[in-house]
Amino acid sequence: MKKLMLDKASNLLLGLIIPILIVACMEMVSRLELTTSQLFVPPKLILETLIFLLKDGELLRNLGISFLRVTSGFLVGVTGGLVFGAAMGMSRKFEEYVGPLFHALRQIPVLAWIPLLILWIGIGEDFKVWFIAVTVFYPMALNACAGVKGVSKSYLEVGRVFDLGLLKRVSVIILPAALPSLFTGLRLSLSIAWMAVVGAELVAASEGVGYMMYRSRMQLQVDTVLVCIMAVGLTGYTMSLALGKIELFTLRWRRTDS
Amino acid sequence: MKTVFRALLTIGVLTTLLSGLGLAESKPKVIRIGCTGSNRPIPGNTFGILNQLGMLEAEFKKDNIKIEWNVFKGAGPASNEALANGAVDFVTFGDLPSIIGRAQGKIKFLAVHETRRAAYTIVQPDSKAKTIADLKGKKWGVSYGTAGHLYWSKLVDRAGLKEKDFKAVNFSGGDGKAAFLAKEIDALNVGTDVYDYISLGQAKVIYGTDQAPDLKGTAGLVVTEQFAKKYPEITYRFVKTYVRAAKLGSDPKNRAKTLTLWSNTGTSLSSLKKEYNKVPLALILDPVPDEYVISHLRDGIKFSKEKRIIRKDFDLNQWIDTSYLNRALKELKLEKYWPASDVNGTPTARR
Repeated sequence: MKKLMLDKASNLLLGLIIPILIVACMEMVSRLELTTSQLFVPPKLILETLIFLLKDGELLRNLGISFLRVTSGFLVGVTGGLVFGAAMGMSRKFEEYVGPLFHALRQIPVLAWIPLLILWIGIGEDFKVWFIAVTVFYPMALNACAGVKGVSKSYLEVGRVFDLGLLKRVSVIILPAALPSLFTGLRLSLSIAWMAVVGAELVAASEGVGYMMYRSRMQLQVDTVLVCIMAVGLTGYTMSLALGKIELFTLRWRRTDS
Repeated sequence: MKTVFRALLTIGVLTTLLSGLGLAESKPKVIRIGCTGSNRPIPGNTFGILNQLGMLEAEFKKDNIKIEWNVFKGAGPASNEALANGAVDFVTFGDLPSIIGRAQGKIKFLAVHETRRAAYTIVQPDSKAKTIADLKGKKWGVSYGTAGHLYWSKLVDRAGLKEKDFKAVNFSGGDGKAAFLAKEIDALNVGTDVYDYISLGQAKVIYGTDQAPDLKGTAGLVVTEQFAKKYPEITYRFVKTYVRAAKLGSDPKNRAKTLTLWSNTGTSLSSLKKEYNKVPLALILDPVPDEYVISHLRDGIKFSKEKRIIRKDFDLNQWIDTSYLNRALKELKLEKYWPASDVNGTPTARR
């Protein structure tokens, strides 16, 4: 146990070496005035801005708003993707009908959906949630389809032998067996959801961390932009870690199996 | 030994030749200009005259210097980004972006580009809002980092409110207009094109610089310190041509032609006529930073620092460099052409 904790601590320290080196280089460049670029910001100013924005409450308030948008869009998108992808995986006929259109639409860059969504829905909250949902729909659908198709034929055979109905087969055999792929889809969708929310808030928003970044960019406040990037990165990373823990718990049977 | 001697001799000759080339290189190949445009890639005010009459091209033709015009729909913030990337040499932009640009980087304020810039707050034609306080909680289109942002920020401050009291939606270029006309936002800050909105029944004005003249904006001509240091004579000739263009626009005899040139930016001629009937063009285009302009900029710096729009304060006297302008005015015998305005904007004859 002690060895495990020491291993974890040393891994964490190793992971911190490069960020510390980057900060040290930035500080040196700043003190020696090696660049006159307005876009270069000393680490000290970034830290001061971070403290100010935390005290002010503005950073946490906007991050919270973006978090709610991500959560709403993520839930809508992955639910739709899961159902659609599972249906494609389970029914060859369904896949034949919808597959070509699905794969064609998938090639469209997500940012290209923005003008259309704004025209249909406007620039309110709905636009941001639906934009995130559309963005996460595709990776979730693909992984759900792959996961369902990858369910072992022997498991399905067991279902037929026991004469299980569709609902029972899906809930007891197909979904549990497809879980590893589904979690891959969830993790991918989560990181894409954060990219999407920042993108949506850059276009037309009055609050949110993407809005903060865009407003700061217009005022050449590179320090605030960097603080927002770090905040989004940290929040996304934390959510990903939490999802990882859920995955470990849910798939604990896989570890005992092996 | 011989080889070493020959190598040293070659290096010495090459160095002399190359440095000789450097000494001879006292002119740039291109002068890169940044300015604001809206619907069309044509700037307004003095730069509009320079651009459409090709005055800079004519001035620098004999030197084989190309003039590169970069007209940004993203207004002041886009100009600041271009300055930060070293992509432009001369820029005109509004008070707030020029303050932000100076706070972050090394630029000199050479001359005034526009004073007494009007701004108005419009709402939907069926809106019940009559005052700024009535817009609390409503969506208000703002262009952060522009002169309009400073107008909006001061307006909100004056009403005893905070920016957080409104849902300020950031727009750049013509996006704010599109959102307003699509009724996606409740209020928008506009300039001289306000009359187009009113004449078409698309909006009504609830506040503006007619009620608060001290909120009128100022725009300036700046140059990067690097360019001015490397090419002082080119900088002077640029400013001299600029002053000639300002004189052309200020002359009452050229009023109709000037407004017609400016209507090519996309703002209708009727709107321009209505706006510029209020103030003589000579006051708008006066390139000399007088007490009115200096006090406005000083106030703008102080306000921006208080609102944390800029992080660092700076000395206005270190920023404004009128040496090129004064020399141009003397050579063109225009030292007393434009009146000097006091802090309140009241013009008096120059001594």
